[in-house]
Amino acid sequence: MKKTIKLVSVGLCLLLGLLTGCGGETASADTDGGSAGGNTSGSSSSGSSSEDGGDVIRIGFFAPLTGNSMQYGVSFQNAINMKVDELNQAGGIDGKQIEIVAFDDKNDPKEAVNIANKIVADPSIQVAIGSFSSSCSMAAAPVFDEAGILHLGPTASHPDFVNMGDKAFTIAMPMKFEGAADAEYAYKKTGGKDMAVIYLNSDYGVSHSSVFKDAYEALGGKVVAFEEFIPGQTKDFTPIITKIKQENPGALFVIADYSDGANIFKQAKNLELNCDLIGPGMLIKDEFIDVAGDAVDGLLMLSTLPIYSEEDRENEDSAKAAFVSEYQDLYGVIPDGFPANAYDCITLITNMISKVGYDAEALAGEFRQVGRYEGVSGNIAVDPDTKEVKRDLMVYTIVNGKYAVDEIVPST
Amino acid sequence: MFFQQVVNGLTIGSMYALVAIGYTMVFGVLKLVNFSHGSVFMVGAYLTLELSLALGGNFFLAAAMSLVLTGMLGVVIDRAALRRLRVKKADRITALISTLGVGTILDNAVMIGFGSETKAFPNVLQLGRFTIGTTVISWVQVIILALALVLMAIMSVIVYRTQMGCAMRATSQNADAARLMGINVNQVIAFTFFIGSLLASIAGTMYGMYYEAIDPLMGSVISMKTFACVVLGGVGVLPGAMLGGLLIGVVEAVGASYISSGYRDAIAFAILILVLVLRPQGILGKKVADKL
Repeated sequence: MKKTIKLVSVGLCLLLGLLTGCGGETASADTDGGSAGGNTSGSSSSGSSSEDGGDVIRIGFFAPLTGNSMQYGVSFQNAINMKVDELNQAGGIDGKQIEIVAFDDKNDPKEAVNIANKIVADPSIQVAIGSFSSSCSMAAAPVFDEAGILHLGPTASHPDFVNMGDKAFTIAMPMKFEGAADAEYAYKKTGGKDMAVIYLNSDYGVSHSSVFKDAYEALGGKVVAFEEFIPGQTKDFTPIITKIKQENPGALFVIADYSDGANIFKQAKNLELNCDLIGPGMLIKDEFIDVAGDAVDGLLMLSTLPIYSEEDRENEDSAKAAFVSEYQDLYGVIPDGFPANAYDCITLITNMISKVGYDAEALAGEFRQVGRYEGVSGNIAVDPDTKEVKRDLMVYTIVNGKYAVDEIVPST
Repeated sequence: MFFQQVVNGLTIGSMYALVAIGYTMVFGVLKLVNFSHGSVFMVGAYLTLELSLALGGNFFLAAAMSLVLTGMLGVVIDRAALRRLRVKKADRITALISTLGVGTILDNAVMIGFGSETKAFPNVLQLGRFTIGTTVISWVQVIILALALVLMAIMSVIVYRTQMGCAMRATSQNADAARLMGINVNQVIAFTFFIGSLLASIAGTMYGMYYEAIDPLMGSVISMKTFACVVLGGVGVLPGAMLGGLLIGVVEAVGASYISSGYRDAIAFAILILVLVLRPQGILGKKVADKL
């Protein structure tokens, strides 16, 4: 009797150990799926320290590698490892190998602050890349600012992010531009129909929706419903949709992650809310269409991130094609805009390091002077004064369960 | 719009009630707040989905297997994480923390095993919908409500009309006295966990079919609400779980539409607090002596 209990508890402990052990490195067992995720080669290590800062360049990286947003974080890590391995195999930068010091923030801003403190405690780290959400990036930004470390957020699109430190950079278009561009396009495309907006109550959702609403109204359109929801509280949006249906909107704009977004569109269809459907680039995930099914046919997608297809592999001579085919060969899936963004981040930073050396101050000066950069995720234009980024607006429509390119509206 | 919101609320509520019925079984017998129930509910849904994929789309066989397997998971949870605490006469709070741990293990195990992304779930009940005036009602909604009622009736029969039910009630009142009367208390508790987890699997499968999607955190989302429903209706009272579920569902839907969609949980929980202040034992609850 006692023995069996002991055995069971030992088994449980082992299981626990296994689970926590899995937390950091091998968290790539998801759709972005290669088992090659966390530890392709020696390039990534969770805090394993090489004391000699002289012949390695250590770059901090943090993103959700476990938890509910892990598919994004893991794809970031995949893209970054891919670039770093490639550079290291070619001899590194000035003979120095690059080492990515990776941390998992679980998409939890509190965790992001802890990680930021860990990163700044390591004097050999001059650059930190992360995180996925604006909330996490903004929680960590003051810590990096105080320590004078260059902080690069691949997808931190909250308008306040770049103002949180002189070395806080992003290559995402801030919401005040993206929201306005979305509104302008939606107004033009729908002919100024009455708009209903459902948005998630997060830093990203609130800023995107309020900018969108103001811009849409400034153009002369009417926002007849403006409803928020709190992420993770429910999967049932029928009360909101019923309320919106009452207002008879001509178009519905949903700002949510792909999972809630898919539920909203599906439930809207079930409640027979018939109007134009519009969504932001955040919804672009293959799972979005898998889950939403035919409820999102005809949905208009306004994105600053690209969608790659099998055809993008074929086009031999472009950098995009090389990125897509290399990523697909390594990890078995066609990348989406998120890893592409992370890839552009690491490429930009490593290019600058080889130019001005590994020093946060010099790199920040260099970053302001980037001007226009043609990355694998599209055109990036950095304003030298405000550090704000402008990107092209890419418009897609969902046709028969596939994303189809509509048009690309260049940034002004 | 009001009637549509009531329909929405009843559907949300019957989903809560489905989970709450299983939850209140364990709650009633063990006086134990079982925080792993939400995770078991999620595992039930995942088992149905993965088995049905593995069996090449034989959904009903998969659902049946999932019921049994999830029921067995409940027994294993009791055996591994709770029985030892009972033997040691540990505080109830210790058992509660233990179930929290089990829930975390299950959530993370599923995330590592199947990934954290939301998965599409087959809706085999494509029965369409009908309209009364401007109110849209789907047949799946009707089935969910009916299923919750039927399960509540079956469970009531088990608890109040069978010998096992009698043993459960005896264990609930006083486990030591029950043991002295020759009741195998561990067996009764294992049976309770089996039934409770089996119900969780039914609820998980129905949830998946209705929303046509499942994700690893669906259990933790619903778990707090279910707890509230059970307390609101009266701990351990099966019709109470049903009533609490429906009430919270309707309050949530109506509150979200007439007050503010951002405050829908706040409204639901405010009602809970109000009822408990006025009637601490819950709406249908009997006088309570000592509860956690």
